[in-house]
Amino acid sequence: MIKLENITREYRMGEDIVRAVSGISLEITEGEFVALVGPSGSGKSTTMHIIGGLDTPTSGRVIVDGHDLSRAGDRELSRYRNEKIGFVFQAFNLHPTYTATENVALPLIFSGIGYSRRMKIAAEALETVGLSDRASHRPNQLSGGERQRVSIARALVTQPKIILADEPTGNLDSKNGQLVMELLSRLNKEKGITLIIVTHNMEIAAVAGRIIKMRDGKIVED
Amino acid sequence: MRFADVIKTAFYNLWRKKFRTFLTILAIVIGAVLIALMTSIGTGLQKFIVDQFGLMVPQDALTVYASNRSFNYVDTPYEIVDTSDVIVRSFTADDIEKLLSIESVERVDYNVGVSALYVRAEGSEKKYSVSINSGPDYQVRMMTLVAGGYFEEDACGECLISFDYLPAFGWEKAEDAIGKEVTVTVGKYNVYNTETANYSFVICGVILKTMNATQIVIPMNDTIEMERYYRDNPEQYSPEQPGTSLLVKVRDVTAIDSVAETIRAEGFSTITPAEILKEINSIFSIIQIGLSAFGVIALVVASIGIINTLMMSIYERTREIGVMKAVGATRGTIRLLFTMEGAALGFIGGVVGVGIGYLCGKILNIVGSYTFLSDYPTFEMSVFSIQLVLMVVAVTTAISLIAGLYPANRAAKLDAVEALRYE
Repeated sequence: MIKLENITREYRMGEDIVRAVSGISLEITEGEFVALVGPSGSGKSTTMHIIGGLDTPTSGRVIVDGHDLSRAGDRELSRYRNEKIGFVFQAFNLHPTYTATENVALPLIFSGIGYSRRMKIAAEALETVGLSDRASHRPNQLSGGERQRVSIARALVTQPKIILADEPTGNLDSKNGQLVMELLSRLNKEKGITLIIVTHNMEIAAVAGRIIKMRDGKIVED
Repeated sequence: MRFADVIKTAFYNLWRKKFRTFLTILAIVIGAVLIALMTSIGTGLQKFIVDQFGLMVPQDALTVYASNRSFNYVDTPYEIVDTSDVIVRSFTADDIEKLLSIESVERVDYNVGVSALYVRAEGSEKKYSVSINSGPDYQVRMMTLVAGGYFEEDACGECLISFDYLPAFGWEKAEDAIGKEVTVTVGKYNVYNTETANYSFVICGVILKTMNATQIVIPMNDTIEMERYYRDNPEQYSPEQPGTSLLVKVRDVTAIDSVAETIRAEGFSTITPAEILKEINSIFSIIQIGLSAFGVIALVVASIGIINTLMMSIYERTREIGVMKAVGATRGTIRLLFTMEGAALGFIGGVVGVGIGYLCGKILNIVGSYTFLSDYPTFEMSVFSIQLVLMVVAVTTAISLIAGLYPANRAAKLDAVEALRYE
């Protein structure tokens, strides 16, 4: 389903060229639960961004569901992110003045769905993460764990095939972290969503079915 | 993304920072008020002039000039190839026949006029400035009278006077002037001849106040007699010496253009009332552009404010832009969202500005009608039209939209990954 072929990603930092990912190849099948682990600067986040269509490789090919992302333009990539991918961020990245439902409904605006249908679909997604009673709360009225569940609902709302989570428990205490991980693995099992988690926490990684270790832009263990 | 959502999101984001939005819009409002008010005053003046023109100039008559000469303002000597270019031509009796023979021409009259020295009212030695006007019946009867009536075309010794003479001559009401006598004194064209002659007229009508505050309108016969005295020329305004210009009246106003064409083909020159009106209107268009330039300058300054506001907004919302991109917003969508915010600022500013401008105009009209415009009850200083309202809103929206393009482009080009990391 996801196939990375000899991916390299270089950044220019002033005079220097930094190689964040260095010729990695990787295949992930549908419904897998994968943890990308490694110390900071190992290239795990960059790999995730490339899979998610937020970043494009300097060289190599990314093929998701038969589509070559490395050659896609902005419109195609945006549509891919909107329809196939759900992102969960460490810092939640919720809109501070939107209610939980409005935050969840955000991706649907870009799918061109009208207001009332958006709100209905978003309410269902909130129900999936068990936050129906918090629908009209704003982020500052929610706990950290609740905020992350709202952001998971936002990732779910377009019924994506892949969820990409970057340190999803990084800003949470262990109890809430565990709840979030349970929710994510339940989505993976029950809905068959391919789940890729980036973390440096081995305890979290242990929940995953497959652990890919990275260091200095390369895969060191799969 | 649906267009309705784009608009809603733009307004929502502006509403989030109410005070900043308010300040930005305030600058646009100032520009819009200036444009709206200045243009409306320009329109008011134009309407006044055009109305006055319509009151004074018959639409079915032409002033025809014998020569085709136009003046060249040049600062170097130029060779005169044809002397007829510089000799002022006069009409002849044949020319009058020629004009009368044109189809649709009803009558041809001498374009009479005389310059008088001063006027006095009966029983007073006070002298007042005066301009003597005269013309055929159809011209005289265009004037609106507030008292009395018109004289017959072939009358002698009767006159109409401007409303403004009433206080000068010490008459309280317009009716008081009727039947009174005024004396007009005429001198000589040759300034070494100090002889003068007095001509007396009985007032038969008082003219409604117009821009021409010192006119006395007298019958053509009297004017001809006075002008002959003034010029020491008993042939002036006779078939032998009709003068350099003539008045041609057409039977049907719709024939005026074709008559003007025929007259020009005969080698004379003329200008139709419609052509004069066009000139007046084009002059006013220039005046209006000049007046609204102040507003446009204000709007350009305001647009810098818009750019600043939107740039600040982008810095504050960098992460938000990153999230929007992550969940599927294209560069085009982000660009559209920010451009819309710019346009929305301009739209609100334009609507509010036109509203305030309209109120200011109304206040100006009310104040004016009690003070400096009290003599012209039909004159409105500020005239708003639906076109003006739409034009101002369109201009402010367009300028703001253009101002929004640069920040919008910056937002669109933000790298999604970096935007998500932005602290």
